[in-house]
Amino acid sequence: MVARRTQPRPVLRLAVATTALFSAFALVPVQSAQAIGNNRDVSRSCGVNHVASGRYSNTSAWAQTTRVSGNCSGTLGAGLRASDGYTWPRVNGNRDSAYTQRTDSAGFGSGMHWGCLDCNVTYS
Amino acid sequence: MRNTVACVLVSALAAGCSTPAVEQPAEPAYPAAQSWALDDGVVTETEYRTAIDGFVSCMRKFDYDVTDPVLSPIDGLTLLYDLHPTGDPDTWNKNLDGCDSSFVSQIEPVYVEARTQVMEPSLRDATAQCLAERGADLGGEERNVKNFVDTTGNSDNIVMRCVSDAMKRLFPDYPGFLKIRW
Repeated sequence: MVARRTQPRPVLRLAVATTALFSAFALVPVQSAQAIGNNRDVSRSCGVNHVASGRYSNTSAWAQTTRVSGNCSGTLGAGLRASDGYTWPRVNGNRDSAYTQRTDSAGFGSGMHWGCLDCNVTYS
Repeated sequence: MRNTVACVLVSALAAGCSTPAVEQPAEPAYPAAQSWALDDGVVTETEYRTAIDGFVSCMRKFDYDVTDPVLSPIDGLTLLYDLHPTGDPDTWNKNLDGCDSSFVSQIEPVYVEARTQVMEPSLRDATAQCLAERGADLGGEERNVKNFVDTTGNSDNIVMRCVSDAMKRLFPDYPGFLKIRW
């Protein structure tokens, strides 16, 4: 007797789809540090912050983290990482802003941003 | 007895079914090394100065070049210094983080936030002029960065740009490493 081929049960289809979805995310490379100027809004569960960085001249770079919306109570932080890997001290601001700037001959790298004291860093 | 048991059960159920607070990561406790200044919730000027001196000494112990702290004309509160990274970057970063978290990382924002920032008058006037030249409509009462940001909206980071330009022009010998909050 030939066994009747049946459709996978819905819960099984969901499990397969979920597994495929997570696998796809796992293959996406972790976002590497972006060059200065990758300015954008970053969403958290409690609100949205804006991360921005730039340069005023060949020897001056800045980074800024500001609250856009929401009720996040964390202390925002801003920092700078030069292209040669050196970082400058993280500036812990308040729940609305943090800004830092350096003037030197080091190459420009990335802005560094934190949404709270214990948050992971985001680069701009 | 049955009423007592019922009360306990109802309370337990109520606690388990209560609506959770909005999810926000709680701010971590400050590093133990900074508790001497933060335990009472108030950071005095002397405590802040001690914390900054501690950071500078810590960095100099690694033979890093750090300039003597000076009062920021931008807010009249923050102590600024310049740092000159040398050696292996990873080692520099590790030592920098260590000194920062050992001495000042959370003391400084608590100190500044508790006080009113007042920009040095010549810097304030130069900032205002710079903003006006770029089309900003100022009220004339601005006294600090937050006032300027609130008045102009700081689109295109114009306030920081004007502050930076004015600092370089009026205080050319001051540290180029700036720390600003508003």
